[in-house]
Amino acid sequence: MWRLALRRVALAVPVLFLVSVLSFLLLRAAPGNPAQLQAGLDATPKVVAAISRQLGLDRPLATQYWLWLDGVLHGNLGVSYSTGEPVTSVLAPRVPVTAELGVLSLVLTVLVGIPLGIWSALGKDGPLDHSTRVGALVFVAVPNFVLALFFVLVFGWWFRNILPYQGFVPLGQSIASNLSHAILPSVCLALGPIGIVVRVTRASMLEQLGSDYVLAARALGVPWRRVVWNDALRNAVAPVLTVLGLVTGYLISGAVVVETIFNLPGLGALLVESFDNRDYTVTISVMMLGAVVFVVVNLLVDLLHAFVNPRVRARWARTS
Amino acid sequence: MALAGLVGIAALCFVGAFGAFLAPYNPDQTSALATAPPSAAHWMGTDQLGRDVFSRMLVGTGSSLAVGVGATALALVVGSLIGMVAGLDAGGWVDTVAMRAMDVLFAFPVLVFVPVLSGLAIGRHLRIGPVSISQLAVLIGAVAVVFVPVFARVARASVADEVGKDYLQAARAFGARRRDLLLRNLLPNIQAPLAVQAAFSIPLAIITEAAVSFLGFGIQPPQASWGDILNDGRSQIVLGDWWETVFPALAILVTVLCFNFVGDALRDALDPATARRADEAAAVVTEMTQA
Repeated sequence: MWRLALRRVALAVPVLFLVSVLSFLLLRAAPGNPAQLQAGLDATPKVVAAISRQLGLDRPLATQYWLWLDGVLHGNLGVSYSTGEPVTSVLAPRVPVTAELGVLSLVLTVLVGIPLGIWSALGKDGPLDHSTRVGALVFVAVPNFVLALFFVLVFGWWFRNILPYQGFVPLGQSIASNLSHAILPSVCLALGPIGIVVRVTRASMLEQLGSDYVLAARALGVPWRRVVWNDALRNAVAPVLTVLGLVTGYLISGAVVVETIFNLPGLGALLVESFDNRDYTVTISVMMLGAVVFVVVNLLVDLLHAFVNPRVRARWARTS
Repeated sequence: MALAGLVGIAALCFVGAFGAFLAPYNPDQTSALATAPPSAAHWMGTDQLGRDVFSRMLVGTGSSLAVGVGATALALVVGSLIGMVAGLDAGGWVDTVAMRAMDVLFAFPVLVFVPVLSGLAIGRHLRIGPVSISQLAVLIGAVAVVFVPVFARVARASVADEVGKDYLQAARAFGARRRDLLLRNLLPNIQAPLAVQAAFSIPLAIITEAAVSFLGFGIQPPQASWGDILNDGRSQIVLGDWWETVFPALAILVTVLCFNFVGDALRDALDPATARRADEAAAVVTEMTQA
């Protein structure tokens, strides 16, 4: 089973490799000469040429890529054009903000989405089912940045001073303050995924509840509560896991706009800011980080899937 | 509901095509009447530069629709081609390479990739040979790129389903070239799921364009687009000026709902219910997780 897991991981490596190649190409496609930018506007051509040689810009593109990749794998993502500090130290303080936002949104999605989906399935075509389905439809149709703007309108103007709609307070400073600043953006980010998770959970649960083993369990007198929340749920969870993997991509995209609107100093806001400052090294690094996180999360979801469900493991063994 | 959706889409197309003529004011015309709330003279109020929001919304409809539909069409053509070729070769190295490439494109979160691609083209003169490419074209291309994997997967899955069937073997026995197999035999049989996917992708492409323009990487001012109007309105919200935010939001919501209704109806009409039921969870996943 571990060999199969290793093969799965090995499949992800070419993807990560190509991600890095694409990122590198985009970096080189960005306007501005890195050597010129590092040397400064009033540097002599000689100095610029020397820095060019030092950065390896006169070597063929393929060599440049390997040099760059070597640096990346050793933790050197390059140097920020605007501040001159290494990119990693520009990224580092932003990570906890985005991470907290992501984790809170995921937690909300799971805690709200899955039960709602189950209850919708149990009360199929009833009032709860209809209202959640309509709600899910609406929340998927309204893009999260529009929702975020609406939240700012509601909490920044109409119902002022109830919840903060801007800025961020680190966990270390004050937990209450941190949560009150994080709650609006997290809810905003979570609403779309909740809509998706509710629909998938509902469909999956309905499929399980209609199957023979549920009928058998009921006939044998197993308490309904246990059948639903224990047996059916375990089998229904699989597609939801897959969705959560894909939802990560949605969350990363959403983080860019939500952080911009709510003024959170996270990686998403950094993407936009660094681009506006022509700090392309930072921009591309954030972009690459986003892709890598997505690939890794989906890989983990795949492995979790196989770990939990022996049938998936068997399928892997057959198709590898 | 599908009928309502179709009517809505028709109305949007009409506005998109003729918006510039329907607008009561010149959308770029600034005036002294800045940030005025909706009134009889300005149905949707004015923005900070005194431009009439209603006129900008009308003209923006065209831009948003053009990018949404254009990007989806481009992604449909390119993605289907890749998917069909991969599906024909299912299990072979062409299939593996193509699908890995799709995985790579899919790995980049949309709002991280499209702004970078599109933003890199702002203000620069790009050429392929003698043809110069506008930033709008790059925007459409960038949005299309993130939708190609979806169409490729749908096409590949459909083709893989059809591959075992007799009519293909018969065609091959008659010496059909691969190009003919693809275009004449397979394509007519897989167009149903592709059409459904397109109906669901158009609103997502429109949302993507709005988000990218909102961030400033998309359609550049002074050209109008719904995302731009939202961006303009952002600084005004906390002062209580709701009209620059609510109207584009409503427009986006209505557009998305219309296309979703039509897509649902298309799916009910074109895809057999039996094949769908077993895969509903997967279908929901594929259709909803592209934004």
